[in-house]
Amino acid sequence: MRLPIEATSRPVTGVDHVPVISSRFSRKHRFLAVAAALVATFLLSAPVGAWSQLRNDWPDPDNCGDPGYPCIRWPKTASNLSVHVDVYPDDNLDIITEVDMRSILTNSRQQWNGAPARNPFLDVAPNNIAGIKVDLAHITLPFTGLTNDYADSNTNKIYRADVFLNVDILWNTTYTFGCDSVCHADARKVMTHELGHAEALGHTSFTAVMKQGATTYWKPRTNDIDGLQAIYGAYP
Amino acid sequence: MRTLSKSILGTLLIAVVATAVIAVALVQRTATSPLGNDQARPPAALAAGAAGPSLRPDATPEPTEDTTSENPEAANPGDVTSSRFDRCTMVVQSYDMVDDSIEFAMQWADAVVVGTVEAIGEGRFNTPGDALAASDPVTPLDVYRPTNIRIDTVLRGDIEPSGLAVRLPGGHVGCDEYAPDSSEGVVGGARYLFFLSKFTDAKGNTVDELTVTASWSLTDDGRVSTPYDGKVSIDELTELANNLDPIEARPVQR
Repeated sequence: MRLPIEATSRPVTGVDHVPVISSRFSRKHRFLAVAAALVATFLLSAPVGAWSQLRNDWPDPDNCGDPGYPCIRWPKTASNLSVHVDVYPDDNLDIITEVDMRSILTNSRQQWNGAPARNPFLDVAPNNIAGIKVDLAHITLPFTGLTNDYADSNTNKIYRADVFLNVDILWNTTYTFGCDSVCHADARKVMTHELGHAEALGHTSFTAVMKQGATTYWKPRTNDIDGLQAIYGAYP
Repeated sequence: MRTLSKSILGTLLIAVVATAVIAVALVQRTATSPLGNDQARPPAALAAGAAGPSLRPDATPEPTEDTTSENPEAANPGDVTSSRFDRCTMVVQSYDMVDDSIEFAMQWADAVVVGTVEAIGEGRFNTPGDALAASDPVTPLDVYRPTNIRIDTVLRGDIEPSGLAVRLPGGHVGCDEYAPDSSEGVVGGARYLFFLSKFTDAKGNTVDELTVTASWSLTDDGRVSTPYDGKVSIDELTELANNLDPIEARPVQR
């Protein structure tokens, strides 16, 4: 129960001002101490298991590396720079006419490339050298897309990824999701989400582009960045 | 005056302690970053639109020095000649649905049941006779495990509440592993809410068994741990299922 303000106010007698001043100092600094302790607790606490890494026992990223839960990721460079991974946008993307899939892919790449983390830097390259291929495919409805990450069983390092968007979806850029006579999905969100899988992020139930289904945003959120930083390190 | 001095001293002490705690915390956070140096960020990405040949061999990024195994159990993964790739490979597959609600998942399933995993078999190719399937880029390693579940409750679908043989996607064949996120963490003896659907095998043949498309674990209090809606009781799920439209006849998909 909340007490009335009067009941919590310190009575001012006006007889001895020193204790009153002392009390004000101590209350103010007790507040500061508590605030400092809260900040320290926040800084010391382990990251909340909000993001997840492929592959673990989602949504518990702490299982990464445990037997049965090998977490996969792209290798790092020798100099701790982000590894460059080339993306090949297949010509099939031009089949989609309701949105411009190529520019959507460009924007999605730029979002991940601008993340303050040492996650794989996504360039564009021809098919024969690209590490990630983005293509269309007929996928069972109501799935919007899927990503296959190929990891070396010995090292758990990803060496290739294929992203497929469902050609049977009616794509939009208006955050429209759902199925009536056809299924609808926002191409920006799904493309960014799938590239997140290609970067080794798994699903999450928190506010993030790695959350499945309908959202009202398509750019990586704090939760997504936390995941990238935990996997690959922060930048700078 | 003495009280004032005590107050100032106390304040100073608190400030010193708080500063020390924050400093330690910041040092620890910096130390947890696996990468410590401050190298320049690579330049901006190239423009999109580069086109290449239509056929794509397995592309491998530039080799790096970071080749240390992080999985001791996989240090001896087996004979690489048993791989259908150029190395022993784990294919981790992530599927994404239009909607993440329970209603949506139920609406699109051919059956929804609560059951206990009685046995999970060895991985095998999703073909008649367990033959090696032709390479399919969407499902490059189509492997499933024959699985028996003992059904406790049928929430949706024409299923008898008894034992049921289903196909659990994923598993090992040779030194390769197929790991779809739909069946991550499913173990024998545990109870789950299963979403089951009809699929064809890798050659397009309709199979008798239903395939597990999602499995949500049950907590000790008998509630279902859903990915996005927290813990939900089976009674609530049953009511939800009863209010859904009847299951539509859909073509069996790959």
